[in-house]
Amino acid sequence: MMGLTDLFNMSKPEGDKQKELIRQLAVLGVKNPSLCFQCAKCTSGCEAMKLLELQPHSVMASVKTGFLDEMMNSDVIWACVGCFKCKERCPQEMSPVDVMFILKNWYVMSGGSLPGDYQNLLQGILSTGYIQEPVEVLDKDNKGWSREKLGLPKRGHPKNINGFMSALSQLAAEKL
Amino acid sequence: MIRKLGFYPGCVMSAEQYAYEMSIREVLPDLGVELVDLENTSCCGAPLRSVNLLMQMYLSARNIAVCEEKGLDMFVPCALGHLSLVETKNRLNNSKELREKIVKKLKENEGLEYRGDLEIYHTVDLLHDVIGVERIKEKVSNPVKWKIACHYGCHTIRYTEAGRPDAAEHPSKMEEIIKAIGGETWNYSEKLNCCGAPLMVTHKEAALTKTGEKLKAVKDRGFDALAIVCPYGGRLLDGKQEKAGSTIGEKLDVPVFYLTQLVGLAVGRNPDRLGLNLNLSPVDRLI
Amino acid sequence: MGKTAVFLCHCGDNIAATVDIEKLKKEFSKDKNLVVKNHMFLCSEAGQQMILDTLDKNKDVDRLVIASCSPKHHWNIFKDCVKQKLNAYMFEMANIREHCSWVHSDREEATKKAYSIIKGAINKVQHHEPIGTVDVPVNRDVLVIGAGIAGMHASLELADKGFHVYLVEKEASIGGNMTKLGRTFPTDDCSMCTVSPIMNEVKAHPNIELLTLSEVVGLSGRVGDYNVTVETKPRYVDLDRCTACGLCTEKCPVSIPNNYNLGLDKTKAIHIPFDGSVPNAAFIEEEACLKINKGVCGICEKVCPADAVDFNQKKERRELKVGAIVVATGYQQTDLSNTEYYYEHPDVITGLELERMIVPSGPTGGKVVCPSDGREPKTITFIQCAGSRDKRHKEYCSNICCMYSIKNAKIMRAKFPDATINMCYIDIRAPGRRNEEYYALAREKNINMIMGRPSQIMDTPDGRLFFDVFDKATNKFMRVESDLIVLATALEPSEGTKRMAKVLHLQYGLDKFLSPLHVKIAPVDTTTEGIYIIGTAEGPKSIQDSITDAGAAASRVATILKDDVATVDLTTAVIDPDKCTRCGLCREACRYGAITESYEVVDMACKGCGKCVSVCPEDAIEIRHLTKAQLRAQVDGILEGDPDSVIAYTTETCGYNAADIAGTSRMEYPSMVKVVKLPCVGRLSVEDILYPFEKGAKGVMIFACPKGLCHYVDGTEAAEEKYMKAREILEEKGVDVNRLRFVEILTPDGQKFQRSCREMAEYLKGVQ
Repeated sequence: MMGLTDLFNMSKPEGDKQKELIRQLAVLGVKNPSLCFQCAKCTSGCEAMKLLELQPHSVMASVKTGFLDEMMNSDVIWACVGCFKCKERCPQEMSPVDVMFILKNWYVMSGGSLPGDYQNLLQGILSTGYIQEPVEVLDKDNKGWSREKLGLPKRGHPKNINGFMSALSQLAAEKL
Repeated sequence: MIRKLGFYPGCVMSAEQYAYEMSIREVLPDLGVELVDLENTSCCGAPLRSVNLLMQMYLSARNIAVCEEKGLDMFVPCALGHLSLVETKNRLNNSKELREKIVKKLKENEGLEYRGDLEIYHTVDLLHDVIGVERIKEKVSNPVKWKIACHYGCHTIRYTEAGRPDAAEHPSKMEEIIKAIGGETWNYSEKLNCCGAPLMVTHKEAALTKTGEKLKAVKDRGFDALAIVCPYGGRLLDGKQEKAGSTIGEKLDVPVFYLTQLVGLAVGRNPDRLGLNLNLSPVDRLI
Repeated sequence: MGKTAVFLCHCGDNIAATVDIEKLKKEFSKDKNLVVKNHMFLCSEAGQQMILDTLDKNKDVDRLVIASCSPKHHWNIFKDCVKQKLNAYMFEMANIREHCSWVHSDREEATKKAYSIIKGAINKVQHHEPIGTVDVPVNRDVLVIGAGIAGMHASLELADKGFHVYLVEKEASIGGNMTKLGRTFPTDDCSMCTVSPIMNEVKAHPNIELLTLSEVVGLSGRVGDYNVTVETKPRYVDLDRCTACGLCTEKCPVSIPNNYNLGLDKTKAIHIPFDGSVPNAAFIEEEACLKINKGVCGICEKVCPADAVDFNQKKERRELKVGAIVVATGYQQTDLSNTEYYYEHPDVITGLELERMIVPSGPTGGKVVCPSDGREPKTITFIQCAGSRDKRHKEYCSNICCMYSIKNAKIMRAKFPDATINMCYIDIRAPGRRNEEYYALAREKNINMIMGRPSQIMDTPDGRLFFDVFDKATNKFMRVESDLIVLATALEPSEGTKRMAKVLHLQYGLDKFLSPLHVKIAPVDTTTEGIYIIGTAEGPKSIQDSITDAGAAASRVATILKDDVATVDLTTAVIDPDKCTRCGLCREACRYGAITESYEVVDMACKGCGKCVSVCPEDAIEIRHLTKAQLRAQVDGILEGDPDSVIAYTTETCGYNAADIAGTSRMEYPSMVKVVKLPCVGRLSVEDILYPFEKGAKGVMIFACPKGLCHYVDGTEAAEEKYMKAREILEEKGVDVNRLRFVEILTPDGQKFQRSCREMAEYLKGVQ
């Protein structure tokens, strides 16, 4: 047996997946993670580090060495708030945040169940075009206010909702 | 009139953060910006980045196309939406492959023509760069003389490569506007910290902790109020302040305003028309 | 005409792995006029011997082609070899390494291109004629620019060898950055104690002429005969009279930040640069002085007991004649304001600012304090790589920061035995003799080494600094509170270094540091003979390395100026009086006044750029090293070898170098592009630009040095004019003008070369 083996679970790097990840990042205009030199500045600035122990630098390290499955299936990448600090400040112009977006996309594509409220958001968009419908909000005196009552115009919505839904469902099956 | 722009409010503002929308509609025409409502809009896709990036880009691209049909440049007051639209525009310009894929789907399924050559403004650059601090200053009749902290929100300023309304590390346009309308403001270390909003989808407790910490910092720094430019942030910073306080075990009472509400007050608009009754944080204390 | 010998170099497998040398040999051997040989390493002694033997055995061979690496690399070696049997110009190099084997991976394609390049060279060399030489007097004076440790050391070395040295320094005192340091690694000795004697020696040396407050603003001439313009700012103080008593400073009413102390304290508009400055005399900061700017005050003039203040001094220009130039203009610290490093907080300081506080004669009298309130720091944190190894700022490693931060951490430990000292780092770089040992000593000093770096520096509401950092070693996410944060700020070339690149036409990298002729084997030489670069103008480096550079450059200067007379090649223009109508166009085009009223070329003035050739309507003027016949023959040869070629005319400097760098960086581009080297693109006439189209080329590209950086004043502009004209003609003829392109390019920009070639090929593919 050649190459690297993770002795904790006997897993091996997945070269093909790694190649595919690099390809997809390139489509987005994001650089190959191989330049990461593990300074951990991303983790030091990560908004989800202290509370949820997200370590972008270790996501990058795993991806660089090819241990993708483990990362893709881990809960921790769902803690990323998408604040883009890691991307903004990376001295090597890497983008852990985009790497994690793709890994999460793959998890979903592979049939993984959507965590938290994502199912609702997705359902909302597919049925009405928005993640939520306009509600009647309460002011401090518990008085209800709708868009209409406030004199706000009706908001726009996809005119051809069937076409809209069909486009999204086609994309759900496509590779980036 | 200096500009006529397609107005794209996005999900959160049009579904619940009415105060932001009201103050925008109340203030901008007075400052020379005519807003044109768009009819065929939808979510910008940003909440779906983690689920499917192609869907995200499709949704952003379709809203761009909807505005382009009107031949107008675009105003997107939501930071999350603004980044998603601008980023998608860049990505489709830089990747033939992506562009062909998305443009084809837009045409085939919804009959939309995508060009991707419009300008997309956010509240910060619209007020600061297009309208200009001087023009705002001229209109001020009722200066807001409070100490106001600025919160740009992550997506207003990051990431630089995408082209943002202000600088990533030392943004200053909101501060200039606050000073123009009579307020006092200064830099504080937590200025660039996240409000926690995106975490509401998966980690509510953590989200509220971040909201609480952000507001506590503003309070500890001696500010009277917090100015924001993002409905996603407003939902927590203004709407869930009490909950955020109890999460971190602090009593929080920071008045939170949308920047457009503050400008509206300063130029003498009727507080009712600025949606101030809808702010759940203790803004009454100051007005 | 005799036969032509063609030598094919394998260059180990550098060429042979991609180019089929055997196949080329077979092909060219079919031509009975060619003698074809190959060798593993042509540049080796054995390879050169084979060339000499071939010439001996084949007496009918009178010219040769060497197909190997870039002429930038080994032209001189082959020239010296050829010279033993033939005139030095009776050979041509075909670059099949940088321009072929290193930029293509398909063997068949690369071999085809190599064939075409060599064919061009064979055709061209048929038109070569011997070029003579001329003896010129050599000026043996030397100019050293920059009087930091490197410049001073080089000056002393040269002065001791008997050369007269002009040492030009833009500050009011010599000494440079080293005078600002506290102690220096790895010996920990006091910096000023090391540098001060050297400064005094420089001042006292009879062979060194010191010009302070001076800058080089112009250069012309060539090795052995440079003419340099130096501009000297008025000091407003008579150096011979000033006794450095300091009374003027005491009485001066204008207080200004002390730049020498990096603004850590104040000084006056008139002041002595620093304790121990050389010359040790006061000077007036022009921008701050009331008398100079508003015509009031003049107190210093009144109080000076030596009558040394002189407001009548004016800016002066002086022409210096020298034979060689050493550039030692040094570095500066990168400005990190508007970054995440929170540079605005007074207690976030740079390594150099800490050095100023360590120096006993510095602004704090040797006390290290928090600049915000003067308190003693209880926690001191060093942050490494601030701006270095960072593609958004400086991509390179600043080389000395690990060592000087370790040194400063040790000094802090000695000063503050109970303080907490932290260092955030990516890796510690302490290579070579003594440095790791030095680091080991520091590890015994109880310094918290944190393996990670902060994302952002912040402060608490009461102004105390802190940051959060993930430490990879302990796996802990830590908050680090500090009284004082010391940034190991990236070094960058000084403003002076950047200016000298322009004034002296020196090549520099994308990082703006000056580039040596060859990184390994000619580290202090430049692409201009007789100009040398030393110290941190060439890149971040230690004092030791700067001094090594200085010694090397002094030796190089001594070599090149060893004789009073030098022999130079007549690579100049020549006029055919029978054809010349004395129309005056060539004289108008020449920027060097090299063509006399009687239409003769002054060899000593001519630079050989060929701009005169491009404007002559009668074909009456030629440059000896690239005649019209040669140029056309080369194009013919290339197109014969590969009819689908794009001819890329390049300048000998930026354009050709960029193509070479694309090669050394292995940046692949379409093989249809074939480089034709010119001394300057100004050499191109409209007909030269159109000629390849007539012969069926797919396209023509012109790679010019950027405007303002032309090595012959305005060759780029001249070429652009011809390019526009050629476009018009193409349009008239109904030829697609996009097949002709003009690209301004800088030496380091191999990427642009690659991109331009790719775009061209892509376009041509599209229109087919």
